[in-house]
Amino acid sequence: MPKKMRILIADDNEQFCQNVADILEAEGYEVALAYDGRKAVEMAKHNGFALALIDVKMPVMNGVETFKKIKRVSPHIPVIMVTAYTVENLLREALREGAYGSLRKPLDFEQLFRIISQATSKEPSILVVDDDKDICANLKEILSDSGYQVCTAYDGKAAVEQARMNNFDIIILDMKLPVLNGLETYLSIRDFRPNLASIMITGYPQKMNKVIHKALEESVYACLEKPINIDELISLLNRIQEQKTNGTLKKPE
Amino acid sequence: MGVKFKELEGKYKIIVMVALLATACWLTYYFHVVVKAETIYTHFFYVPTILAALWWKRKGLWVAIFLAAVLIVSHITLRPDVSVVGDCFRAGIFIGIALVVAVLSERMVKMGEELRETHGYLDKLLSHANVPTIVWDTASRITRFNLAFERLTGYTAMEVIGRELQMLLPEASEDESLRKIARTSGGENWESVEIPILRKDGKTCLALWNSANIYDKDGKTLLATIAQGQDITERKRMEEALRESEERYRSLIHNIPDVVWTSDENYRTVFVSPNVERLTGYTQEEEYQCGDWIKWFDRVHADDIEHAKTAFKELFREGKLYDIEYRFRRKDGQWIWISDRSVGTYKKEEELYASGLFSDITERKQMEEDLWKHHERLEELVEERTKELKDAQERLLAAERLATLGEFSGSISHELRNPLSVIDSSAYYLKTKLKDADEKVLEHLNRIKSSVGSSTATIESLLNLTRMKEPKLTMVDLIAITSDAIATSKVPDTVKVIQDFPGQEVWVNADHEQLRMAFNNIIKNASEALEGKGTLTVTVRTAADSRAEVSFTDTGQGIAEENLDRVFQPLFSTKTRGIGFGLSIAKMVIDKHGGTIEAKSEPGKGATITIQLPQYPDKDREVK
Repeated sequence: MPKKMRILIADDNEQFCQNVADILEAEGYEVALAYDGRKAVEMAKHNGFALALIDVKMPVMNGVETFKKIKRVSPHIPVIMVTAYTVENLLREALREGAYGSLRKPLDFEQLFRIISQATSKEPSILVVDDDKDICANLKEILSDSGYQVCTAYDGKAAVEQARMNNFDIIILDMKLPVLNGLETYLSIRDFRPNLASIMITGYPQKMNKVIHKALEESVYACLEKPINIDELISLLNRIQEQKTNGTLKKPE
Repeated sequence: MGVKFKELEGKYKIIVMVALLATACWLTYYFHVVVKAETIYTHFFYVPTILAALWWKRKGLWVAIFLAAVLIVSHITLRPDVSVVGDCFRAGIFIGIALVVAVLSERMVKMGEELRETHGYLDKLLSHANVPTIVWDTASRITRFNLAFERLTGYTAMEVIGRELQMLLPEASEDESLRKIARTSGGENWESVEIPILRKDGKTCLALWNSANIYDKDGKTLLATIAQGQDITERKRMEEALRESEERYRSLIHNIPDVVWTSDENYRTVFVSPNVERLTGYTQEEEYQCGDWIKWFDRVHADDIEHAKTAFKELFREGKLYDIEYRFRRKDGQWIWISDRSVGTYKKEEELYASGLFSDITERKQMEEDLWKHHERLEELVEERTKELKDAQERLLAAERLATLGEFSGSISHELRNPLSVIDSSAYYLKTKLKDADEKVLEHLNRIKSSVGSSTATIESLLNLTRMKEPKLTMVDLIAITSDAIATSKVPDTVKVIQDFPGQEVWVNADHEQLRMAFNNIIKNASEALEGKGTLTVTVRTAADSRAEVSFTDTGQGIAEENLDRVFQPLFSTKTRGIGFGLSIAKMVIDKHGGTIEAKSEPGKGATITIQLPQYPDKDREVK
């Protein structure tokens, strides 16, 4: 049996802490509890956690401060922020600083398990956004076979929500989307995930406004046209991954 | 010199007299003694006798008496022989003659004195008469110049007498004056002829002259002309001033825009200035012929006649001045506004007159009216603004109330969310642990979970709304939102819900969550009004002006008319339960979406809430 993954839970609500601990333990994780931020930082220093769940609103040191300190002492622990409150600014700050994701109370545990497994996986994660569900399904299958963890979203709003919860490595975004269109979605996500590598897919390249086109060219990693050349996409993704591990994400010429 | 001459004259007279007397005495002696004549040549005796009487009047009698005595004494002594009777007779004649001469002489002197006196009086009369008088001879040389003339001109008589008349004439009018003077030589007598006179100081004064010619005894030869003047400079000046004043008055009357009138007690127009024509269209003549003001009043507007007449009557009866305005029909039928002001009354020859002015004030009236309209409009505007302000204030108050409420419920919601998450996680844990428990247990666990879910949703929505979050507008289907709202509203089964939706999507630019929450509130409100029975009809349609419309019609008790405006106010509730801000949340959401919401009701038959939202501009989408 592989060694159990250790998860740190920091929340001043002790009952909630214990409940979550019970549930995660039942799922086969080892859990450590901290009831305030300082304790959490202290524990994160030594105990080699695979992941941390940190409540945003805690006495003495709030969750975001705690996350920042943990990031300094153990930069590789993925941190998921949890909150019962509407504290958009704090969450945004945490995400920009590199928190893995944010979840709202009451927790959707199924979702939590998924995110934990993604966050602790070595495989790079990709978010595919397209209102065509078949394309999403196809890409998911193909990319999963290529060693990626793939999530899908069918509209812009869902994509933004996904991006809040998960720290994806790459997002593949269709330009034409319902609710929020591709550009709006991209801008919303970039607001709290400034370093996310994006690949745009468009069916109507000639119709795109030149200004938007230019703006996208500057920050989007690449633009692909439909129908997608899968080989090209995969090599593009691999290149991104390589560059990311080298720490030099660079646009192709 | 005269006196000396007279003394000298007296001395010579005495010497002459003594000589004459000595001669008379010697003659007597000669004839009586030498010649021894009986009679003496006495004729010589008359010479000293008459001379003495002439010279010394009655005193001269003594000379006659002396000679008579000499004659008689000499006769008696030297010729006693001859009868003395003849000489006595002669002596008597001497005395008699002397007496007669003396008396006559005295009388003559007296007459001469009287004549001289009369002359002096007349002379004085001329000199002192208070009328400038001048006399000139045929050569126009001044011969007389009285004191009044001296005062008039500043010259003395000595300075002008003997000089020509011309010196008294100012150069400017000299020729004309000379012509007038020449006419007198032709025999004309001036009667009130104006001739200016040049004074010594160079000033000119105007005089009015009368003249008369003086002829010699023959009645033909002109000797002199006498003229009397009268200084009319002052009178002339006053006349001039009066004329000017009248001129000004006339010009004023002719030129002022006001019409000046004078009327007598019988309302007869005595005077009206000619500009009456410009104002009324009737000429001055027509006004006079018009006769009286009664006819004038015929042209006054029926509504204004009474007060105009009253004012006019009171003016004459009580002297009460008036200032009135009335409408007046011009000759051409056009109505004008007249301002009529009396300025006073006066009596002349027992008749009472009144004067006044009137003017056309139509334009002013028009402006006043406009101003009044403006004023009214302004008041309306102020009223409107006040109402708007009041409404805004009320809205603000409502919003404030809502905000306070939001803050309050917000903090409570936050605190609820933590225990909810504990309940939720406990249920989840139990569920995983009790996988194999019986159905009932699982059902209960599920119920806990779903209740926590709906509580969380409520809290979420409430938080979003009460914080007045700006809606995140996206293109959403109104039908989908409405269906969603109906599905999540938990309308009791006993209430029939009719959905009247069009076949294709109605796109609106809206925040799905907020709109659904708004609709939830409206549906909740309606189903409460239905009290568990009746029908709720929900209609979605496309309205005019590219607006989408949703309406919720219930068959409940309806809303009283006075409450229709208030149903959207926070905390307004006629129900015994509920906090009464469901509809106000709905209104707030709709407002933020740029939509409208209104309530209509027929009391007893139900109410309809109608919402209109801007449709999503489909064509802009591609560009965006």
